[in-house]
Amino acid sequence: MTEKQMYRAASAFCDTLVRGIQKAKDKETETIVFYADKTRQRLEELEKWCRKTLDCQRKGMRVAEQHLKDSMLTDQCRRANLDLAMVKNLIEGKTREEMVEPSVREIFYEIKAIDKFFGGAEYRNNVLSVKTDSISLWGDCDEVYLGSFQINMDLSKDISCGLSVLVWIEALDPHPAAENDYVTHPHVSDGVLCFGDGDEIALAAMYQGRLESVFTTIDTILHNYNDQSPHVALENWFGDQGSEDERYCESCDHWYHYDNMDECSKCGDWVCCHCSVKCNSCDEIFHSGCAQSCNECGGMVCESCEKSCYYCGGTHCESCVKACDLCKEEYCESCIESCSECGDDICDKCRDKCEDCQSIVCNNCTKKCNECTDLHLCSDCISQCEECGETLCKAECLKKCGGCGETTCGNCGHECLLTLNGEQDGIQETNQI
Amino acid sequence: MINVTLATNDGSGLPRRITTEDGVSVAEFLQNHFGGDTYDFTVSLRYPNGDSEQISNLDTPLHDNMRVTLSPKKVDGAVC
Repeated sequence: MTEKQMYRAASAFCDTLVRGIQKAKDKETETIVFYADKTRQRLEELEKWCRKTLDCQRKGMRVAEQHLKDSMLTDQCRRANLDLAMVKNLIEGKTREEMVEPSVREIFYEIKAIDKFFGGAEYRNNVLSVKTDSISLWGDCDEVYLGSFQINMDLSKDISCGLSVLVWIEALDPHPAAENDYVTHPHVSDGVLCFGDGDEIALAAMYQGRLESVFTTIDTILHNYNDQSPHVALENWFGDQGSEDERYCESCDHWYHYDNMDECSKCGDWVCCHCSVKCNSCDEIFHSGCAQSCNECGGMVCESCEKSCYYCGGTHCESCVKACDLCKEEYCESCIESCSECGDDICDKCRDKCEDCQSIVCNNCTKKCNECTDLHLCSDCISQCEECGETLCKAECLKKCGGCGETTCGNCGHECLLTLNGEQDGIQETNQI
Repeated sequence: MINVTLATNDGSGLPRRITTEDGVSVAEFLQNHFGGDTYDFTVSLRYPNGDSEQISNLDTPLHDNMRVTLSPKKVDGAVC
């Protein structure tokens, strides 16, 4: 763009701006109401985020709580403050004072800056145009190429009509949404850009004659994707057909670039990164419907790696089942215990509980008293008679001498020499162990 | 002392003309007069002769009649 064209454009915009500012001053009260309402909306938003922060605090989610305080609450507070300051300025007339009509030279500098930023600008029939670079936007897990755009602004139109009247967007290398050819960008329909949060920014800059900021704001909007409010969501950009590089995920009913998809190792269908699961045991990728969750750890496990507990019948991954060291059947961690004697993993069928001390013992380690044969005991609760060598329970059938400490059964009896000689007074004849 | 204009494209709109010391760095200037984290903003300078540039080095010194503009890196569009 030549300097002569820049001056012509600056001169045209200067005239428009003067008229626009005069109209804005006439509509000052309406503007106060607008910003007062905006402040109210901001405070409502702030209250919403405060409640979410409080929820996090109650649930003990410290990291999330801090994140919300640092980002959302701080940001909403700042925005509410700015809007309130705007209301105050408008009431006190400061905004009116600062709506200084810029000079043609200042606007010329703005256009020069636009020309530099975009690597060239054009001015024809009162329209200032620039071209963006090629734009690709990231959706949920997919990048969509949209091509480059031309930003056009009619410098002769009344500013008070709103930016959407002054500005229109042309797709230079159109890659429109499959469902609607007019939607060439998630926020552009039929050439009209919906400014969203940028409306306030661009309009404020416009009234101050800061054309460079208006154009860079539009460029920023085009380079960003707001998934909360698109004309067509990027996930649905290619509709039901999908492009050559697209694959269809039946689980979520969306098309994605094949780089972000996998084939289910069971059914062979394509599955996107959101709907796929990895088997805990073999690391293969599956549809969430082609794998099950482990009852023990909650991880996913495929049909080939899935283990079933012999006792409870639950589904488990390999790492959550153990084989019983005696019967070799597989059990989940909840249905298997360790023997207190040998440490082996033993299932419910292959273990006993010591009837004296209640500790768990495997069938190999359990002992029986030769006198009362129905008792199953651990080795701590059973011993041998020091006279006849019989294996007997400590609880009923063995007695320990209080004098010499010898352990004998009832059949052998025990005459303690220490007690008989009366060398130790007060010693009982025998003590039960 | 010099006069520097600070424009913030965050909806507050009104550029402020600030008197500061000659040669103060952009970083120090923003720390004293912006009062927020500039991480989410791109910083551009306008020189008195009309030249402009986006800067990433905030140690750049400021001189009389320069303008510092902060523009958000992310602006959400919507559906009208």
